[in-house]
Amino acid sequence: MTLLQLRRGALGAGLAGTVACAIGAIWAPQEFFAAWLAAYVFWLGVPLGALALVEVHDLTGGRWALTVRPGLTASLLTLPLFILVFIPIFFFLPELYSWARPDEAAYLPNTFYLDAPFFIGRFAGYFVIWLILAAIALLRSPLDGDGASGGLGAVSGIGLVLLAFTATFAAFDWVMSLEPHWFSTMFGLIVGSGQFTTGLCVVILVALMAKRMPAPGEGPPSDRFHDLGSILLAVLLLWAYFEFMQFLIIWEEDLRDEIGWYVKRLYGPWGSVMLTIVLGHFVVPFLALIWSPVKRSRGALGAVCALVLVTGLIDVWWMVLPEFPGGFTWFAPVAAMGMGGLALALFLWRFERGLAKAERRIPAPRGVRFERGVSHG
Amino acid sequence: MSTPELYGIAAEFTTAEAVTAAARHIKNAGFRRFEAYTPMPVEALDELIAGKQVALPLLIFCFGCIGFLVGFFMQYYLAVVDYPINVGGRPLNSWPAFGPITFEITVVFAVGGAFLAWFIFNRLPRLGTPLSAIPGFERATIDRYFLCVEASDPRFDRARLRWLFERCGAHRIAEVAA
Repeated sequence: MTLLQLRRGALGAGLAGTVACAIGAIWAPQEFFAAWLAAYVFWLGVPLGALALVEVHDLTGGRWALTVRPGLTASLLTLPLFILVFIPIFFFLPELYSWARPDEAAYLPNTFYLDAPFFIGRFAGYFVIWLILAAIALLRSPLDGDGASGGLGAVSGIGLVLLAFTATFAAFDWVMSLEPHWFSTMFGLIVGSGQFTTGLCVVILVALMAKRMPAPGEGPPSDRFHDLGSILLAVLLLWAYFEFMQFLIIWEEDLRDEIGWYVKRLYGPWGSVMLTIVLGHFVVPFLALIWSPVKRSRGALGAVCALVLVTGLIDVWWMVLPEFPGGFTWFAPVAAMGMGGLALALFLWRFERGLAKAERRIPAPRGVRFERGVSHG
Repeated sequence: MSTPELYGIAAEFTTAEAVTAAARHIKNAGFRRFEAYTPMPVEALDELIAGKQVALPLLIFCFGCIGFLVGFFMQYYLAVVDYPINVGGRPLNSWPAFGPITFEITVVFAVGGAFLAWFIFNRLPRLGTPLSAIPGFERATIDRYFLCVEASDPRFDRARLRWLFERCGAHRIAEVAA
């Protein structure tokens, strides 16, 4: 399967999923918006995770960035799409958020924050910051060099702080406010580290699948993937730490206003979903990645990344969907496919152009032909 | 042919590339019990002299598992069997609350096990190796690279080793007394 075929397939799946969702939304708007929001929170991890990775790399350096460079650039360039796909939600806020329904909001103490114009204003604010950071990262890209860090200067440090705050508040706004009485200060970091994981897995998977010439100074493939596997392990540990600490604190306090969030998610069908997430998003990848040969094998590392991506999507469903009477509907996978297809098509389009540019830059050794085909790993 | 009073034959090289190439030749010639002494880590050598290294991560993992079980069941025993207290109606086996301590003890066992295993595998504490008797061996901590095939190697053969080392461009060859 070549990149072009994959891109056409992604675009087809994206359009089909989006159209199916749009038609279904006529009959079941709330179910559609719940699924659309979950898909949004999941796929936004692609550009946001890439942004965080670029800035972390700028601070710490490392050869691994050379391996994922084309993927990171393409991920950053998908960011504008995520402004577009959120716009329908603005027109139907009361379908999603009880604070946007005047009769229910009357009892809320925090309506100054949970207020439609302010909500939209904050959305604009987050994207202004993210777009500026992404633009700086792309224009002054340290990734064009030899893998050394420092090209962004002070921007990367300040950028990471800004990113942590904006991602936290974005998670508060979009997901936590679904239940306006419930709060957890750690929630933003849980969603944010989940998005970081998504972004990282996508660029690793793409780097594993794309057959291309290594950039100068990149080192042998097994070493490069070993580093990426170690980073994935660290990020998963961070995610698990946040997730467990929130659960531990709320479980120990057992307060009426807080425990309800977990009661909805720990019992019944969502309880087994949670076990799936714990196993697939932490236990299995953890045990696999502490074993060095897994990190050195394309197939095994790819399988771990795929598992983490799938369970990451299930994790977002587990956070968003129990708040709605409809729960899990056919909209959830179709919306994820629709938005993911569109994002992937855009991603692959930029990725291909990035590869073509990189090939022009690296002088080809005689007798070696560049391959741009993508095979399923 | 092993000689009892001999520890091995050592060769001195001036570059990391030379010692790596020599180690590769020695390994290809069928020798297994050899060790390199270098002023800084030479990554390629790790893979040539490996064998024992595979055991260390596995050992650390086992120590971690033991720590996990010890950490969890210590708390389980205290809270459920030895001194059960009703804390606000929570179950006696409050496993989420055991989490942080279980994690800490897992880490202590894994790190402690790693340290212990590292100590034993390196045959510490000892003040030196038989190679310390070679004049100029202290340069192994400065700018020289030593490779020593031990006499306990089943294929040990003095003449053959000397010939191999010479072909590999050894700067100096010395017999090491046990």
